Amino acid sequence: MPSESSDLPAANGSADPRTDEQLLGDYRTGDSPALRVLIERHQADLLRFLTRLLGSRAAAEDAFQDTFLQIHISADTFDTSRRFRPWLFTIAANKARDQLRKNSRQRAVTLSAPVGAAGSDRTQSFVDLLEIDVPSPDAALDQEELSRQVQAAIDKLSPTLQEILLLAYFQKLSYAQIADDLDIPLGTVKSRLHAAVASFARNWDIVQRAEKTGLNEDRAGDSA
Amino acid sequence: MIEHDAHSHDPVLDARDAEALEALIDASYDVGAVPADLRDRARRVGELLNLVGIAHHDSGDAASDDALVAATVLAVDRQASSRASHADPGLCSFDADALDALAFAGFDATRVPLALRERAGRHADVAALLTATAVAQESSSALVDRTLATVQVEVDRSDSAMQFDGRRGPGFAWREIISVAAMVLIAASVVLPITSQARHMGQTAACSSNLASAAAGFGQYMNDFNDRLPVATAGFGSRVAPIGSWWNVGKPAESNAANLYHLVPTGYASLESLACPGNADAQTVPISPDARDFASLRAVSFSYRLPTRSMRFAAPEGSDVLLADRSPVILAAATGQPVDPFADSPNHNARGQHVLMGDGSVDWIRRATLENGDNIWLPRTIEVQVRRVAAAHGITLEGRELADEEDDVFLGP
Repeated sequence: MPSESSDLPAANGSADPRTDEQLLGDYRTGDSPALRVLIERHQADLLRFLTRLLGSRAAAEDAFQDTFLQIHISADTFDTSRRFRPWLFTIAANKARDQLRKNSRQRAVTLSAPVGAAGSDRTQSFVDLLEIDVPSPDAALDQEELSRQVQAAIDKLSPTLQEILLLAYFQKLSYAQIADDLDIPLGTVKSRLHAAVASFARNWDIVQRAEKTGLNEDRAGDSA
Repeated sequence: MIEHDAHSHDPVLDARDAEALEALIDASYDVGAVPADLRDRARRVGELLNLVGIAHHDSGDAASDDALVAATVLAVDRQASSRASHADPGLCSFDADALDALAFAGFDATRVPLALRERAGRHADVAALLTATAVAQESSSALVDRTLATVQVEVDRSDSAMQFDGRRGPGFAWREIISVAAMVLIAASVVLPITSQARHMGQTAACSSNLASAAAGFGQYMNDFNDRLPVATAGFGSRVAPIGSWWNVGKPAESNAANLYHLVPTGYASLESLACPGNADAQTVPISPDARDFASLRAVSFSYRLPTRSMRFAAPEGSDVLLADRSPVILAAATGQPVDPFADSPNHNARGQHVLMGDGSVDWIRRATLENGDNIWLPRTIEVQVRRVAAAHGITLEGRELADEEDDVFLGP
């Protein structure tokens, strides 16, 4: 699916009838208010993307501002025959990566993990999504609680898997387009996204089970 | 635990594991001889050493032991990375096919072939979980405003950089200013006000000469202190630990005026030279021999440059404004009155204001906005707000705002 912004203006954020690409073109030629329309139009999605990627609202807001500053600085280099939204999210992912690097929030490996000889644990497990309890979007759930659980499942992924998972889902791009944006082979996109979805689903399942166990323990504690 | 150093790609052990490894080396790799509280960790470290093929030996050489620690950490990290990549699960073949089909259909599950649609729908649910679950405080018009202000600062910066480069001149040397300041002071003292207009002119001239004298003090101070501007208060107005408003004149730990006053007890300027005749409340005598600040906000005649949040002043260049006739904005804001950011100093009946430039020259400007668009009474972020909302909402200053950049002229008492 092409970005919803290329053919039609996004439904949220602004009633301005112009597409994202038209707005950026107008901004380049001196229509300053067009930038506000773009920011408002993509604010919710981009902030959600960055919060999920960085794990903190404050860090996401910093990256959000850096992203639009970069949009301003690079506006003249944007090819308006291409879609704006993937460009925006790719810039945002770069800004998030910069921030993670700056804050040195790197993957940590604990020595207490099970230790086995190299190559002894090469059996890959497979995830079947039908066996995992994923709530449908219209399920009436506590949003705050749901958000915390989603973040907990994402935080367990490696930065590489986090990035491809979020970019793919937020940008809604084909593998070829993702490969182009991230400058990695198409096969890598495919295998990495498969691993990312499977890992997220497994983590989600673990978080759900832990929540249920915690709840049961709480109830047992209450009844005791 | 292995952590990655911020400035290096090499991993490092966390403190507890490093302690266990060192204890193990000290105990000649005898886990039983390691202190009890580190024994479990030491045992794991020992297992890892075996695993990655690092031979145990007791070198008795600290450098060699350090190398062993580094080699161990790197080898363990590689082993752990390899283990992690193998640990990533895959999708079962149905889910993998459904995901490929969904991506091909632009993540629109209704366009996926029927046989895979149920599983594609499950993928769409996972996608919705990630993309549609709300995050805290989702909508924020303040964030939009802050983002636009950030962009505006960049616009202003690039605009001013272009103008600045075009008008930068050689300026005057401080030494020349010091030598002529005394002559200017004498010349100004012979002006006798006869009419009201003549009185204003006299006050303006006397003010100018006083500023020129203050400029001499500035020059001497900077010669003696490695081109640094006078600063007496460290950390005032910090956003991290604000201790009060910098317009709290009379409290030297908080007051920006105390930075200017610093020239008086250190002998670089007199209080007379820091007084404008247009200020009826101007202070010309210290309130006590050990005073470190002016007596009150109204006693201050000139507004002095405020530092950035990181408490830095730019090394003054010729075109920098260091000091000006007192700010009408701060006088109003400090007393809770509405602020007019384009007002001129009350020192000269709002006709304009003197400014002491970084090259030691004293200029008269008729507007509070410099050629590069910088309003001398406001920090840059508030200038951006002014442009947008001044007419509708007015402006609020708290006396804790600081200059946004080193090249942002922002003056306070």
